[in-house]
Amino acid sequence: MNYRSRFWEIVFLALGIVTMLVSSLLVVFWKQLAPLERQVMIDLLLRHALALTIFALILVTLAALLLDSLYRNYIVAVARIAEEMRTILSVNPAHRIAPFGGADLRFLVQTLNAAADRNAEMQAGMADRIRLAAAEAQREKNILAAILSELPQGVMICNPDGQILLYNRQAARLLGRPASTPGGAECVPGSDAGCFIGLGRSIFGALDRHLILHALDEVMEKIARREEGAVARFGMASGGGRLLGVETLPILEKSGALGGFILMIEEITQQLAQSRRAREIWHALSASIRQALGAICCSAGLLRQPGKERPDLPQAELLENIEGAAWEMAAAVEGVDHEVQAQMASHWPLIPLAAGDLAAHLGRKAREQLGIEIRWGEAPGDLLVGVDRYAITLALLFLLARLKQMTACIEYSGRIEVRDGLAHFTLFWQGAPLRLETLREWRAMRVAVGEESLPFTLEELLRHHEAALWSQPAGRYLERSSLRLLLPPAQMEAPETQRPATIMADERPDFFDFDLFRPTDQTIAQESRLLTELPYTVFDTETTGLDPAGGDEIVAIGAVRLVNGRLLGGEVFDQLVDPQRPVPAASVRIHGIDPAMLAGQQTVGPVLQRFAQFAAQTVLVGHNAAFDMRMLQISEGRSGIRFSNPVLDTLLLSGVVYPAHGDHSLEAIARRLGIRIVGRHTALGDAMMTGEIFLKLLPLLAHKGVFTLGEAIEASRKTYQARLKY
Amino acid sequence: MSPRILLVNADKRLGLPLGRLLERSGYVFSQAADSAEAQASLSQGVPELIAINLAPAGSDGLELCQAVREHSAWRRVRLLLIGADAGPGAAAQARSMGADAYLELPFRNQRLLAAIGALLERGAP
Repeated sequence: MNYRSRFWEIVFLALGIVTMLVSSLLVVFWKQLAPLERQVMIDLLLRHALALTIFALILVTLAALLLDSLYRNYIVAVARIAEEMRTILSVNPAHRIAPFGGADLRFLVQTLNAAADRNAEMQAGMADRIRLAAAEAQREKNILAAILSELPQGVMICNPDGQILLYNRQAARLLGRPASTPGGAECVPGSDAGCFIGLGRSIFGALDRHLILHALDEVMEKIARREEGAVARFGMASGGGRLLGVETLPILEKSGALGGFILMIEEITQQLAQSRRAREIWHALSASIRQALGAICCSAGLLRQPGKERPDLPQAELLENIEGAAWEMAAAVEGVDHEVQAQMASHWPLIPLAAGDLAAHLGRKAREQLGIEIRWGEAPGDLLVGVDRYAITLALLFLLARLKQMTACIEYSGRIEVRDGLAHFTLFWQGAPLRLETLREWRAMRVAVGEESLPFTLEELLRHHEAALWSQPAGRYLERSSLRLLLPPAQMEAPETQRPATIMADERPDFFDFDLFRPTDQTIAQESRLLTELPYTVFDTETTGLDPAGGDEIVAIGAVRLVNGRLLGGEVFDQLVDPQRPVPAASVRIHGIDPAMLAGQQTVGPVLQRFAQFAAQTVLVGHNAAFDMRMLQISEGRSGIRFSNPVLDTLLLSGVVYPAHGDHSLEAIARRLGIRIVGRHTALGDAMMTGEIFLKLLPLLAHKGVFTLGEAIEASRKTYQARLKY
Repeated sequence: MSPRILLVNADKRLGLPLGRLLERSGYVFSQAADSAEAQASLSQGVPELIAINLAPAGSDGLELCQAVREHSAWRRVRLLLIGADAGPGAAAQARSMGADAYLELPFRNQRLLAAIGALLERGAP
């Protein structure tokens, strides 16, 4: 019952009692009068009837005004103060009640604000202590999260129902699609459209259920057989023609039951294409060579045993034939040589490095590790060489260490130049030259300097780098002995996928939430489920106007997921929509979306189709959601999409929590709940703010006895604002 | 009378020495560059053996092989296939297409002559 009706109930009850008492007294008084006295009384009353009526009316009016003032200034004011105090005590300790009303009310508000200050101080002190205690644990959690997020493989952890508890960036990239990607196709696992990946969503939206179940069966069978490394692998196609290799690892409870599973996902498209290409290359090369060898062998056979029957046939033709076939063979080898080299190199990548930097690095290491001084000349500034810096430096140190041992020379000069398209690194020294046979011996040795070593010989390393190495003694062309290394120049290539440095999050990142391990009832839209455990899609639309029935259309939809009490900033839907009608200047002024921005955007049909996939299995939350839902309904005919999700409206929920407050605008609620107002009038900005408001309303709703979805819907229905219809 | 051999071959480099080898070994030898030419030649007269080189890319030798086996007048001729494919499936495929023997390139001349000799000795199937 609201305050107004309760107040007037009390007023009328009091009036009734007073009227009864006064009437009883009058009856007793009347009965004690003599008949003559009664006649005098009647005459007096009749004579002054008008004056008495006016007096009574004035009295009633004064009483009504007094009561109304009492109602406004005390009853409603106290209720409002109580609501605001609840906000202060539960969700926004920084909120203060603005002083209003008479001196006594102002005094009450001041006293309460002072108490709130005190409470805030105490809370802050306690929060500091808790923060300190939790910081270390959080830091460790964040390190784990940072590592997971930056792993080159996709990692996904699911509970036994397939609900996603953790995913990293790579998994989302490989299996999902960003919410703003165009494309309105059905979400079919493995399709080009891909699916939305998010915490609390089902993995079966992105991966074929049968594949995973089959993999889990395989894993559990292996565990039952006590096999080591109980892992199941399967391959699948993902969006954009990608091929993925997926490893399934079980997470077992102590009882041995399946507690969840881990999916390690790797893109194998390139790997498969490479091995296919390698097979093709080999096949073609083998066929060409065999074909040419066939001609050579047959011709050579004839030449070796010339026939007696036809001595007249010219032998030169056969020789030409052999030469031609040999050249064809050479051309076939030449054709694949470069490609095979590139294929092999991709397994041991060589990184482009400035020649000068390589020389400087070698100089530094030679000084530190071997006590050798190398004075390098100027290197061509733009010269890059493709190297494994660690390996090539160690190889050169290996050579220098042996040279030092052999010649006792510790001072070298170096020259870097480009000749015949190759980078020449030449080291000069005064002293005995390095003999070619010694160098040959060194080439066959494993590269090792001190405690550092490589699992290759110098020869293998040079071959991998396509490098040449030789020594020259001082003599006719050179004044000093020298050792020369030739490296092919490299092109600076952009890395295939940009991998930014790992930055540890200050707060728990959005992509994992192990609290979801707690078993919950999977079927949503059950009104008996707790508000705190439901997944939500908080959304907002921007439109061409405020009249959905009059032809106004959606120009933008923004939405964010809210799962397990957290607004997931990484799982958003942000899409402009071509309304296929003019956008009035007045609405452009509000949302800032001008017609030029909408040109080329998708129309409402495909956008709503994707939005429905994004919001599937969640409760929709909006501020004044009646309007947004009406916009969605109007578009139903064209999009064919019907939104049957349960809907909650923060405007109505605010009415439930703050019945004594009149203003339930987004800004007013945000201010009351201590939420920063940013990004207003962008669909996503408003959706984010609505999400924050919704989160803060949840504990306040609990104070009002609203715990479940069904209770929230029922309470919303009863509020005054529910009568507002579009 | 010397046995007649039709060599179906689009690779000139192999054609030259092979032709000479067969001629020198006393066979009556004719050459066709592809399946159509071979079938035209077969309709003039059927040799004892057809040697088909599958090696050049795009060779329609296997189709010829099938056509020969399906033709009532030609099906008894001996078929020797030569190919650059050394995989285990190549010989099996050749046989399933009706070939009597499959020789991988390269081969020794004696090996070819021995194979031809054996096939001709075996006579028509």
